[in-house]
Amino acid sequence: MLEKRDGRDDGVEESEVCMEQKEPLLEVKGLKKYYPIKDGIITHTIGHITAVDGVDFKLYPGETLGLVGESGCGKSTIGRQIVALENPSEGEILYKGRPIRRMAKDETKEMKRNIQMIFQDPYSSLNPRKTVFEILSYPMLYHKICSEREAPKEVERLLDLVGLSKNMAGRYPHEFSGGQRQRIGIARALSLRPELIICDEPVSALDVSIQAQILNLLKNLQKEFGFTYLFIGHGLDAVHYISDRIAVMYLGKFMETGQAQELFENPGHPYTVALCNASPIPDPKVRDRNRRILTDEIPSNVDIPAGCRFHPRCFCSTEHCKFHEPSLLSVNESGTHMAACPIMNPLQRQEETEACISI
Amino acid sequence: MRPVLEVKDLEVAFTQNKKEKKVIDRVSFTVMPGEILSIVGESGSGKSVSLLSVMGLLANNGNVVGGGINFEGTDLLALTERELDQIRGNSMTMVFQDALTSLNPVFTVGTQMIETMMRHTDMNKKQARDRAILLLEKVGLPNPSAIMKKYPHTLSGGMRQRVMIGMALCCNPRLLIADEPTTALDVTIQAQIMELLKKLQKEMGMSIILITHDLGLVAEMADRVVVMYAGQIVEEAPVNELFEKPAHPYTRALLQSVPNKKKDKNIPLVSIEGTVPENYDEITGCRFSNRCRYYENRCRKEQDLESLGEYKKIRCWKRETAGMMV
Repeated sequence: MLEKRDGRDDGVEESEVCMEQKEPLLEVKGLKKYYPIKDGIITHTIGHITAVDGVDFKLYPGETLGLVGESGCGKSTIGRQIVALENPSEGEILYKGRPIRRMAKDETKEMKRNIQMIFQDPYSSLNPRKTVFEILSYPMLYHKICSEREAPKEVERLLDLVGLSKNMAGRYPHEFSGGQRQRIGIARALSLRPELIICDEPVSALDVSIQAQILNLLKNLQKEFGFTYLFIGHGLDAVHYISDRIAVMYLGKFMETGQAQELFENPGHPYTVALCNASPIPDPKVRDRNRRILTDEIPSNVDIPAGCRFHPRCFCSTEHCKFHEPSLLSVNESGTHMAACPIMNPLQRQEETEACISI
Repeated sequence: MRPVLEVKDLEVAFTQNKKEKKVIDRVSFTVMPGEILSIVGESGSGKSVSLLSVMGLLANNGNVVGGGINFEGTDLLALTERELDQIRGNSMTMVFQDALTSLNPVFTVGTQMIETMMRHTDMNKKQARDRAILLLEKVGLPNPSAIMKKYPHTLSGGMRQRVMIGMALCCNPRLLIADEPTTALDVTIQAQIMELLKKLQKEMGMSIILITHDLGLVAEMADRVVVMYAGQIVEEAPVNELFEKPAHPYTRALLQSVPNKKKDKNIPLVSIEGTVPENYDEITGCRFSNRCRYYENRCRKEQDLESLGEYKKIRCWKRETAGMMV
């Protein structure tokens, strides 16, 4: 049985206090991932695709960190490296203070059980030849969470937990709708009683009304069992709804990190401003508002712009930005809100930029 | 003013295993010149099927079994396939959700655009080529003459969708049907494409039907909105009215289920439990009743789409209390 962990307290202040006291569950240090590009008859490497280019963050028990960015910014690659589907080119991932790549065999098995993933596409992430019962029970049998005799009962409980009826266990994935399949994906992640769940765009492929069902389900499960989430998404509103903290990513690097509310109310990076402006607001009365819409598309990650990587698309870039790559600087006094833009930083903002960022 | 498109009591049925299933039930709507009409609904609500039947692009087992489709005074259902070809892609065009599968992978962008124009107009190749370059520039693609020589798979998702829109504009259409044109794209690119559509619509004065499930986009783009559920229209209203006073419980729930940065995060989102029923054509009475919070006995009786004012229509027994439901 999944035993209930300490219920998560609501309210931001509480979680801030917790964060300082608790050990991080997961720590990512200087993570980088490059994919070589090969060419020629005698294949040789002619360049690299930079997927992740030096990312640091900590994830505390019971919290949700949201990762947002356009496609190709490396957010999914981070998730895949944490569940050890891919090895980092550089940097380290520490799980409970221990590097995941240098663990003993049984420790690795335990770690893999504790970190589970929910995938974006509920159509391709379930094996079409296995029934729901098999999909949910095999991992549990492998990890000896239950015996073969207890399995049916356990599967029933999991289905109940994610809001599916227990007589669905004998069906195959194609008999379900998109939202129901995503529930099966969630049940599979829960079956191993993990501590950390990586949600890789779990609602992007779903209808609006079903999105709300899945987001509510994820939130309720977290309240009940104290899961930690890394929530990857490109829909800002969904990420904001579920996350305590958010990191905004662009071409493999964090542009801004901070508490969800703070980040949107008082963005410290022009890219965050642009992302907020891009998402449509369901209110026709504000449709004529002044929006700052990014021109162009995300540059290729083979050839990352020099200086600040966002400067070719930025609306307040200066000569300085073309040559100097900014690092994450604190935006507020407490240091919980960081942004990699010296131009927009209120602690060192200049007057002329004031005009261009006020929207 | 005469409407550009008038769909009246459209009924579409698909035949599967020798059984006929009616997926579109008496759908009527009109599009006026220069107007953006948005059709909203979940997947499987029939919004794409209704517009595919307007374009005459239904799959082989699908048939229009009732009603009429009138485009600028021409009855589209009475036309032969060849006559329809004169209108389709010419004065009435469509942009699809997945630009990669709707472009031909073995021809360059240029070849496909030139072919479209040469087929529908009496331009020669040179003229068509010049116009294609002009259009690609118009949809905001940098270096259009280089893009003409490219194959679709070498372009990014946003660029492909721009090419699709450019192609749709080849013959100065009076009606553009956009079927979830940005669902597969990033928010930033989505914003760009939507701005582009708005700009083109103003410049060229065409009408647009925007099919989407994203209410945010509806609020940004539409003049009027048609809400579909399980093959029927459940509500129709001007955009401001729909967002201010949604009358049908389904519309209301849809609006409340959208996460919003301004809402309090500790309040759970309103979600519509359950899914669109299968075999919804066999249901008598309200098709939304199994998911509706306001269900009562009379909902089992068939309810027609009723007009409340010129542009406002609703299909719900509880419409008289509609304004008061929260």
